[in-house]
Amino acid sequence: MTAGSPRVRLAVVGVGDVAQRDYLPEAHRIADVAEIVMVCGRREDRAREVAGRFGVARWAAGYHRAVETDDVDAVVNLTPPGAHVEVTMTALRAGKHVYTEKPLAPSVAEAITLRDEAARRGLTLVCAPSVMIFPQLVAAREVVASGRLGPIYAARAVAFGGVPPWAGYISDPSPYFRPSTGPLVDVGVYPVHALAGLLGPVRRVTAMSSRTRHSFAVTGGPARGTVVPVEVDDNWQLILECETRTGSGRGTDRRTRVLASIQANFCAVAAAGPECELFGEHGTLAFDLLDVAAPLKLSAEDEWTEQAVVHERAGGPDHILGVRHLAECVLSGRQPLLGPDRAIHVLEVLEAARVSAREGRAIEVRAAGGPVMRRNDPVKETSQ
Amino acid sequence: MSDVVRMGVVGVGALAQRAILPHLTQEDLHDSVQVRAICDPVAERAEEVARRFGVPRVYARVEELVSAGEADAVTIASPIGLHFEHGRLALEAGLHVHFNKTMSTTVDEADVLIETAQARGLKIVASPGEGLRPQLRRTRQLIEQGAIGKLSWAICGVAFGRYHESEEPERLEPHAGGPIDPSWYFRKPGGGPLYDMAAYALHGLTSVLGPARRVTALSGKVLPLREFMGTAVDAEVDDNTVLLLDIADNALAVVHGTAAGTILDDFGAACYFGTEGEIRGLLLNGEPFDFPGRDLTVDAPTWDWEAQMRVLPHVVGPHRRIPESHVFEDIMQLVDAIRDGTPTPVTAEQARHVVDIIESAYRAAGTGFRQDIRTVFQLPAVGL
Repeated sequence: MTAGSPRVRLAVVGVGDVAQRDYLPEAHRIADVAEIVMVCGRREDRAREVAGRFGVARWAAGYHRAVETDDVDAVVNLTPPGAHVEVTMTALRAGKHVYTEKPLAPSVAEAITLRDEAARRGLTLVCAPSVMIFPQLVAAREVVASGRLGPIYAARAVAFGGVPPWAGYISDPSPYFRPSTGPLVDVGVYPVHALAGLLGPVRRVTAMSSRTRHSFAVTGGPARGTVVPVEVDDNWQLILECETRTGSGRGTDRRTRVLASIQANFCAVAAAGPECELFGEHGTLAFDLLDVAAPLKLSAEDEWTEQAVVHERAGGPDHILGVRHLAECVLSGRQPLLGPDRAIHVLEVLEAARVSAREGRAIEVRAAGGPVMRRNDPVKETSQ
Repeated sequence: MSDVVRMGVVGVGALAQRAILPHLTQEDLHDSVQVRAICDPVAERAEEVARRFGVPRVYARVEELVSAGEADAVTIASPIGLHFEHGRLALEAGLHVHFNKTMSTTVDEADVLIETAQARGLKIVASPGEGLRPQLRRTRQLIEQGAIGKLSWAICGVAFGRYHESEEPERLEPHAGGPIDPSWYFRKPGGGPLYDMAAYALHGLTSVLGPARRVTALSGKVLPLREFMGTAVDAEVDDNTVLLLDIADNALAVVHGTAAGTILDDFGAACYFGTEGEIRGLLLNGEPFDFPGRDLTVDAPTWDWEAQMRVLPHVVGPHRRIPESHVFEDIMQLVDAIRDGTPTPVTAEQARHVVDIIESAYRAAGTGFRQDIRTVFQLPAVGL
């Protein structure tokens, strides 16, 4: 893109751990399509300090300046989960496009009101996590579409990014352990997004959960000494039934139910192995959900081979790709691949898992509108 | 009773020809166990097998074998769906019984077998004797000693493609009597990957963690039609089942039984994740852990199942070169128990518990409701 091309002007709302770790340090990589013109935080001193450190011209306390300012096109909502709906809705009503961290909303019903608000106003709403456009997932989609694995029958995934607060965490970890969050919502979204995206929509869920501790004390970092009550089950295991289609698409399609197990917890150490595996009739594909630097591993006829993945970020999750996606959709007028329907489907799955674990029964998930990433969906909006 | 245990083999299909008869007819066993009779409904096959292995008596029916007075004990190597009936006939005729996995297909059947044996003072050994393996006993000890902190979750299971249809030479190239039909693996009762291969994972898991309390599962069929040597086989049973277990102290376990692909090496053995570490197969936090006899295995990769069995007490000399030596080990557990009353940890009660998990898992998948598991068993003292 040449100098002088239009760029989307972004206001980043929320300057906590994820903003400083995953978004602001990577923002230079999307300078061809977007510019961060403002950062907003609950405390002005922190917003000012972050703005200075990352070279952002303006800062503000609270988010209202971001939505009231005319020269902001879009809001990047990186607030704690409890503030997501308020910030996103206020921004949409002010005519701003929105990229929101997950979850889109604490409930499906609230998520739908956000989706409808964006649609009514013709605004772009992009919902994290953008795991489906992480390079290793793009490569995994290509392997699946190539047919090298044969039909896929089962999968397993573990959602794990460490027990909050992980090393270097700079905020109070208590929100992670509130009833509305917990590992199911915070990290369970990654494998659910990935498996629904790769295999097809989830039609049935069964789950078990447990609570391994009721409180703990933070032992390091700025929140040292804080006693965090564990108000939500910290150990989850789900089985999903995904509906996948095999065949040419010319009336010979067969619908197959793929079974996938998902583990999400805030109580165990990191699992060292691949976070996700797809079991096909002719082979197995293993890959990481979060670490863009990990290679794909492909097993066929008892031989494991590795396939390196080209990645721009050195390692870890590359969330800035989701903000790029927002900017590209705003500039091109295209519908986002990572829109609210996909996020709503994932919320439905998580709600079903909660009900299943509580009531001890499998829960059907209603047919949602278009969450599946079809084979002919473009992998990237732009490829220059 | 004679000092030599006179053994009958019920069913001389693939397993009997590949493992049971080659092991039990080795010279080194001459003073402890001798195969005196076999039975199989395919007369031509039975006659040829008897000639090849020097077995003096051949019968067509189990009733004839168990009432002939030729045997003190039998090993049941018929299709899983027939185990109960064949085992009951043997016990009622006063014979001790070794069951190849799995012992029965329902808890009610298992109850009858256990009660019949108790009433008559007979012994049952029920494969697979995963609890004998020093690798798993050491795993259990490490977890009980807190080597990985508090256990959070575990994963194990099997994925295998068309093993029974296309990979067993004994089936495909028979000595006599035609190919050995594997159709029963896909029919009721007794078919499906849970009764077949996942029984190993469930015996292993419960040998490490003890009995499970609750189970839920999803299940489906991915290959409705199988093929064996040019003949179509209608698959009646599910070939793709994933189950969740509530086990140990607030821990969750997931077990895959999937008729496709291959599970990554680590997941063939179970993986255990705790608050302070992990055990993946034979690695504790990435480093090999020691167990009695480990020096016998270090020249082989950890996924080499046969090599891992060299550490079993009876697997010495020629038995290390004959396939499926774990089956031989289990039979010798029965032989020792009959000859001198040596207690064995390979119990009918644990096999009944595994049958309970499987039967309850199918009920959970069928009804959509989580199931309580009503049976228990006692883990033996861990001593290594």
